Amino acid sequence: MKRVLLVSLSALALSLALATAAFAATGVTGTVKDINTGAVISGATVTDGVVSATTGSGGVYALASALGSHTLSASKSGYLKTYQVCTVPAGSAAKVDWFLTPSYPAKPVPAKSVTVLAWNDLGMHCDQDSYKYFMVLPPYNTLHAQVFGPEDATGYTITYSFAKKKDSTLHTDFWTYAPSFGFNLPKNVGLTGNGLSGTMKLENAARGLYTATGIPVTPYDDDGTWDPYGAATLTVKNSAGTVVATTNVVTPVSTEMSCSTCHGTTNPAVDILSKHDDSNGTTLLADANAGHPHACAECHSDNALGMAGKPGVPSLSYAMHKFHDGKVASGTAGCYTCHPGPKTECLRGIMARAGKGCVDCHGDVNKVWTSIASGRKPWLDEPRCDQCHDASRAENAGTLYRNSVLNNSVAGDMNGKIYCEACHNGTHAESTTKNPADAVISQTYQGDNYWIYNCQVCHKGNDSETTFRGQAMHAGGGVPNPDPNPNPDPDPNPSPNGTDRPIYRFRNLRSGFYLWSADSAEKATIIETLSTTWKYEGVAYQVNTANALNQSPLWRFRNLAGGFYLYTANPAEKANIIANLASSWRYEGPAYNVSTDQSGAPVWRFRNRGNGTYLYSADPSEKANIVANLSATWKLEGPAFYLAP
Amino acid sequence: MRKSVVLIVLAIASLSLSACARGYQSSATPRNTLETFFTSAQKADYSTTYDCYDSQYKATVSEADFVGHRGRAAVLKTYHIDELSVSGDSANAVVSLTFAPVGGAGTSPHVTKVQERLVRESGGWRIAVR
Repeated sequence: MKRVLLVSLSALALSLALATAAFAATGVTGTVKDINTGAVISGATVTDGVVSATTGSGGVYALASALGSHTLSASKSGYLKTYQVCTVPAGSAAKVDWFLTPSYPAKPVPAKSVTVLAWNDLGMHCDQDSYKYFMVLPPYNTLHAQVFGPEDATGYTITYSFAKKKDSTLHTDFWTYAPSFGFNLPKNVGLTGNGLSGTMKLENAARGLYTATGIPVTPYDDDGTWDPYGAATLTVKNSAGTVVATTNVVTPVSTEMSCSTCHGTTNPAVDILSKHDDSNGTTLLADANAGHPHACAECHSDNALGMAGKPGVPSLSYAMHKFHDGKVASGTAGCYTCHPGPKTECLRGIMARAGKGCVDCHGDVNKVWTSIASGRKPWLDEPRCDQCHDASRAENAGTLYRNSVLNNSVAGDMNGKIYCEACHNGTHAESTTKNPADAVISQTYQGDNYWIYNCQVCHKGNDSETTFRGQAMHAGGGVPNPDPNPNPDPDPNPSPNGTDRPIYRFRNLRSGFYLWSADSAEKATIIETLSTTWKYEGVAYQVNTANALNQSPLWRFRNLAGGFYLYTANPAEKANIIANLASSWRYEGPAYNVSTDQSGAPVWRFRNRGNGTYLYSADPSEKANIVANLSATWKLEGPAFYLAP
Repeated sequence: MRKSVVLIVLAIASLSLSACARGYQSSATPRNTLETFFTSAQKADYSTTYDCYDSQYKATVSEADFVGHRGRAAVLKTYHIDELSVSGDSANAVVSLTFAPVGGAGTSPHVTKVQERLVRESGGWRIAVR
């Protein structure tokens, strides 16, 4: 008997151990830290919308997420809620670490009538101190700007200039050798015809995008000061020719290509050309010594410069990365052997501050050239934000970050009008960066180093949008402004009656589509400030949060063309939309929890036969009325989800 | 006693010379700082040139980085302070500069006119970049 008991206890212990091991080996684990200090954050909540976990004193969490893809969020009072996507594989745990940004400071925004947001396109451009031997890249920088004011966004004139960089010929010999590279350019004029001062072109009239490409700026001020983060001054005039705004925007450029690390310090260029000549039978060194250096892109195609190269010669990106594969260190340090650089820090944006390196987005040097061999077009096929961010916080579907625009604004009226980079800055230097020089515009308008989040940067205080929904620009999980949300998903708002959460329904008076909100503060803000756009139709239904059956997430999707919403509690439908209809529907995450158990009261879904919008009703009499009298307009699709009592 | 006085005077003189050699003079005027800034650049003594910048610039660029990169830009041949005005703790100057052709390209010297802004910092005057 005693032996049987021991065996049973052993079996139980083994089962428990196996169960514990199984739990530890699946789900999601990681650490939550403060992005500014690097200190671990205890008491932070991490959730996938279904289950949640809280970090302990070491900042570590273990989330028992199911297998498959999830949009996770991490939140803690005093910090901005942050999101990442992850996939939990079978048999092992996914690791997702977090670096939370402290909540926005509540600072007054100076009054203004016109706002100009501007940015450099790449975070950093490369330049050479000397072009005597070859040209990899010429002096070439690009600035973009958008203007927000009382006039049509395309009616402004924007000029640019540099107070301390008026003559690039002082410190670079590019124009001496430019004819040898095939460019007959006047001094201080770049490849696209732009100089160190000029007028920005209206590149995209529909979106009010102004651009100056190929500005031939160098890291040297005219007096010889080495300043890779020099600023351009933008001056905005209205259609009457009156100056209505000025701003400074950093124009980063660096010569920090550390060829001498491997090619010797005496004259790395000679060593490079000698090796190229020896390997390929070229006469590059002799040509350079004769005063006729070559541009790499004369033979190696280079999409960065739009140069086709010669047939049969690999692209410059392919050739450079393949040749140096295995010769440089791994990780960002290896990339910085050639790209600028450990001092000037091309990679300095918020993702770099959160511990991401070059290879996290681009892959290692081997991946760079092998991916080209597999068909990737260098400089044109770029890493995507949605590798780690869910669709509501990433670039537009099928579009690069640098060409993407806001398309999930809360009211929909800002959609298509604001470039992501206007508020978040250029790639590699996404706000908030390590370098204070990047934050000139946000410092000017907001008084801080954050990305542009404050509605009053563009909207006057009496604009209804200023306080719209009490949130930032993005719908579907936009972070509150300025106060942090201390409550984790999936239940972010306390029920006013303890366990019954009311769901409020609004009808858009312009478009006719519906919005459902579980947020009482949001409800109050809409009623107070946007009653001319949204009609409050009352409480649509209530969710008893105490009933365990009401724990299934109700996922929200936003139609990219019409701006209306689709809600579903059906995991198969959710997966199908994400997999097959992402070009039409943007996944915005869980809205709140409901039941999928048919014992509850059904919430019926109708689809408008004309415009494709959706209507949800938990009211049997409303459902009966629509079916009886409005079936020509609304098609009953059946129960969307249920409400357990 | 006399020997001690001589030693003290010599020590003070030595300290003063040392400070001047590094280009930093706590009682410098804006003109002194400008002259140190450009004279050192003429001599390619870029460590002394670096000393003339304000703390904001030095916080982002190290002396070694500055010296390394400045050495690859053009060598300053001549300078002339055309204008100098002081207002409280800041000063503005217009300076004419002549540089040697960068990288040995060409023979004609490059002439330019720059504006320098100086700020008073810790009792001295420094070149402000931003």
